[in-house]
Amino acid sequence: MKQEIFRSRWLPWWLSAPQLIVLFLFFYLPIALAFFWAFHLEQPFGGRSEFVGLENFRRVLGSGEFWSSAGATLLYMVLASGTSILTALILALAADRALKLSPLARNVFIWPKAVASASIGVIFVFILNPFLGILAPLNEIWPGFWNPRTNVTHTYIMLFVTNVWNAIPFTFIILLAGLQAIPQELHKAGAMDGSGPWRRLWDIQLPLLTPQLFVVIVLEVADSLSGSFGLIDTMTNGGPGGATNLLVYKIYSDGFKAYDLSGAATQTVILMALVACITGFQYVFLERKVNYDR
Amino acid sequence: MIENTSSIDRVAGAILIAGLLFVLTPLVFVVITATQSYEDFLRNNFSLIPGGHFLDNMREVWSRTDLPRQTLNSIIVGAIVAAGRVALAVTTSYAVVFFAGRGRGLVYALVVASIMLPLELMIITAYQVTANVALPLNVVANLGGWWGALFGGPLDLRWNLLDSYAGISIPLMAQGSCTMILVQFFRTIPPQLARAAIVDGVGPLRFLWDILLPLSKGPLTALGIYMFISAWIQYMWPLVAASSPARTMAVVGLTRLQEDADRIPDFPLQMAGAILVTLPPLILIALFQRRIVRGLTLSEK
Amino acid sequence: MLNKSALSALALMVAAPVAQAADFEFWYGNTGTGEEAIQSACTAFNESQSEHRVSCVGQGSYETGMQKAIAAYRSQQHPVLIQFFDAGTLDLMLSGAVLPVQDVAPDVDWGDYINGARSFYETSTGELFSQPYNGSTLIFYGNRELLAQAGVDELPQTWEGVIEAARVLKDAGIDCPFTTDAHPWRVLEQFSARHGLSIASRNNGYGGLDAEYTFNTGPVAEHLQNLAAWRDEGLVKLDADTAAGKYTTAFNSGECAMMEGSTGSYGAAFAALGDKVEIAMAPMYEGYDRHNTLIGGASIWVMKGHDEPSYNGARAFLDFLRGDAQQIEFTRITGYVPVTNSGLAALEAAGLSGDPQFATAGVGVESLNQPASEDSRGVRLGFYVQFRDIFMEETQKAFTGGQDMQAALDAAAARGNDLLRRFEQTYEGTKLP
Repeated sequence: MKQEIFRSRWLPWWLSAPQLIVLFLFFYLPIALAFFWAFHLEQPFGGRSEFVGLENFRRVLGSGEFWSSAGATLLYMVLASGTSILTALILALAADRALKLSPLARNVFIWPKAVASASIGVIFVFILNPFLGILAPLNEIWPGFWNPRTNVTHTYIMLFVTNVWNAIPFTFIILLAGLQAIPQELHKAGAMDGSGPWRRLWDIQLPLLTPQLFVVIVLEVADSLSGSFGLIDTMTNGGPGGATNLLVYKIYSDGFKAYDLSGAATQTVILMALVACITGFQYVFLERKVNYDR
Repeated sequence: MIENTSSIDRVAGAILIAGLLFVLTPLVFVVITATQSYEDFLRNNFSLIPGGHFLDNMREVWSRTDLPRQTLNSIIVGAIVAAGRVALAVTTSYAVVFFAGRGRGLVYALVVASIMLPLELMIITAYQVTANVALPLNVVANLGGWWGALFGGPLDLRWNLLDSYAGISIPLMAQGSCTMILVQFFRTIPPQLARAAIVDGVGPLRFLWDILLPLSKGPLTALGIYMFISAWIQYMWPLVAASSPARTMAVVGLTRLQEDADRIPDFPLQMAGAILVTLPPLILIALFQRRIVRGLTLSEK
Repeated sequence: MLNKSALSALALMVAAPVAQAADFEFWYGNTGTGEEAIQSACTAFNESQSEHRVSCVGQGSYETGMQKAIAAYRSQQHPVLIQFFDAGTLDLMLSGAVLPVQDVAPDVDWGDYINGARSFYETSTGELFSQPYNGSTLIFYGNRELLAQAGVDELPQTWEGVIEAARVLKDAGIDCPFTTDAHPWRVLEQFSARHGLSIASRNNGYGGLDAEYTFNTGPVAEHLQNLAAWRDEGLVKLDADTAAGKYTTAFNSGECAMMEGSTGSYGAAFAALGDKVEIAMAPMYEGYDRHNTLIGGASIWVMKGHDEPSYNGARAFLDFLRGDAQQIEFTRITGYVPVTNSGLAALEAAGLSGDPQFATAGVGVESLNQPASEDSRGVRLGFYVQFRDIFMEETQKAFTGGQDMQAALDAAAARGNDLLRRFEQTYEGTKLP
């Protein structure tokens, strides 16, 4: 971190206090209550709550479903955020050029943001319907070419495609804005040194885009985790055969559809630890590579 | 451009066309489905041939939901959330970026960690807190019974925010992405600016108000619009936190059009409804697109 | 420093306005037509008298309603009445948050409820805990036109007959003879109940919290293995095999000739297919006596912790909903079946029982009224909602070829038993009423 201009003992705390209070009340306090449940056997309506120590953790960590769900979650986070960032980066690089289509594209690529995630799932389930959707003709030629309802790989592809559509606006805006802020002179200077467009992408554009890429990576990884809930809820319900029962959805359905508050809370605590590790990793290893000077 | 880049431009053009098709296809499908009648839909299932029932569907959505009031609610909540998140982000990121001292790393970590877990996972406990925001005060006061010893009875404050605009909006502000983005922006502001201010005898608050805020107008507007839309499309929390029709938001109100699990959903009607609630944010995006992109440059240049 | 009076003044200032004594809330989960029927019942109740006022608040789904009720009960913000669906019966019975409806309104003739509706919501000693409201049950659907094409004149009454007809239909070029989603409500609960079989020991848990799942051996297992074999043969399509991805849609669009479905699906089927739809009781395997099917849908529960005026209002509202006129109106709008004998009699008296709009009332109630057995009362098993998901997950793996059906059922039973044990531990010291 840099900057560090002003010195004051109390002022920064007063400035951060409003946000910290809101976060405390509506993020950390609810989580703390969940922590409590993780060490108890909790009746849903609060009738009785028995302290069981680490029993809940033993049970969760001992169940195969939890581990396969956790593994699937990690894989999903990597692939979902990777595909959406890559897609948005390619679109942003294309839209950064002064083409006739660019103004239209810059506008349209933000439209998906206006659609509520519940509707997005419903729409894509239809479009990718194996019998009626856009891939149905291919299925008639090669039966079984595309079936996200029974083929787990296809199910994940369906989720990734939907996630990309959903994630384009934010990632695209941030990356495009970053690209547009790169001064033309740098391009010209690069071109005069004889480096072609591909070289300039690696030597000039991407290094200068690191602050934006960093923001986008942190937020997309986070979004792929929290956003998976809405997609799975409307598209796969965790199927086929539990293959897309990612942790966020599993916690929700265990806890709030099936009233196993303790089991859900235990998994929340573990997920929280996982999230802390990922965030820590991003800040320790990725932020070093960010170039704030222009 | 710099050299002869027509071949690259052609590739870029093809990418843009592919991107446009990808983004627009689902939206076209929504519009087509909204033109069909329920009976058509039951017989033919989904079809890409437009029907003639667009206006009928719109009328039915209008009569079965309470869209004017719900839209107003969405606007109010969206505005509160947008203003609130931007304001909280400004003060926090200012403190994190421009001040020396211990603790700012911790503050920043606390903020960033909140990005990852969705509110859906805390729905029951978040509801309990919203039902009585004074809960932590009570707990602290009654810890070890010192309050009772001093005042002759346990502290039992009650402050219920459920079913109020505040109760719907404030929990939606408890998420740090806005702050994270603004921190990145503030970091690109040249330190010389603030050093010059110190030399001129400008205090930190004056600097924030007179120099930093005007300088950040673009990003703040862009973030505000973006956060407004994010609040607009929320579903789960507004559904849970509001009980009365007077506080129902538009996206939640649309669920009235869904059928029970045993029945076949009236997709044409739902899509017509989706169009109606998507239009306001879509118009906002279409109108302010340039400002949003320019504002989120995350760089003061 | 603030003193106590200042703080309590602050507390008073910010406290929510106190509701009027005669006002009370009812939370429900239905959407669409169900919600419209409920809302119109609420309006009718409020207009029919001036003493009480109910405000009926839709929660979007049963699940959200229950989540919110849990949170609300913990914060003392809960409604007087809440509607909840069949599978959560035991969770609410043991919650300590509800009053048995029979205690709240002891003067009502609860015996008027038809047997299949009563037994699901009553205690092991026969006391009704909640008031049955939107009731449905499993029936069998046929598409007259498609069946006639293959020369099948009558809906088969046995599984053997179903499969024989399916083969004929298949030969006649009908690609999807029979469809189901293989949801446990259909292939496990309703199947076992009408065949007089148990899915778990201690009469499906009515006898105590120490019940264990037993469905993985015996006729249920055979039936699921048959379903898998019939599916491979092309006689049965599951959700994933149908064009729309949902069995009801597949039936309504004319893709499939027969389906097993809830009475609640009738409205949409009738809207799509008109008088081509025919219905009958769900098929049996040969050699079994037919018992009653279970009631599905939801019932209304009375929550603890309110004052007497609210309960007076709740009683009046429950009376109103139980009335014949309301039940007929509700059946007309939604396709749920009437749940009292007097409601059925009134339907008959009004000459509506022959009306296709009320067709499910006849078949559905006949099915609910078949002779009872100790195992056809209902399902009283802990974390049952979660178990349904597990059952779907494991059997789906078998249908898509990931594992053998018997292994899938054994795994579902084992995981289910873990849930039952933990439920027992969670409610240790609580006696099953």
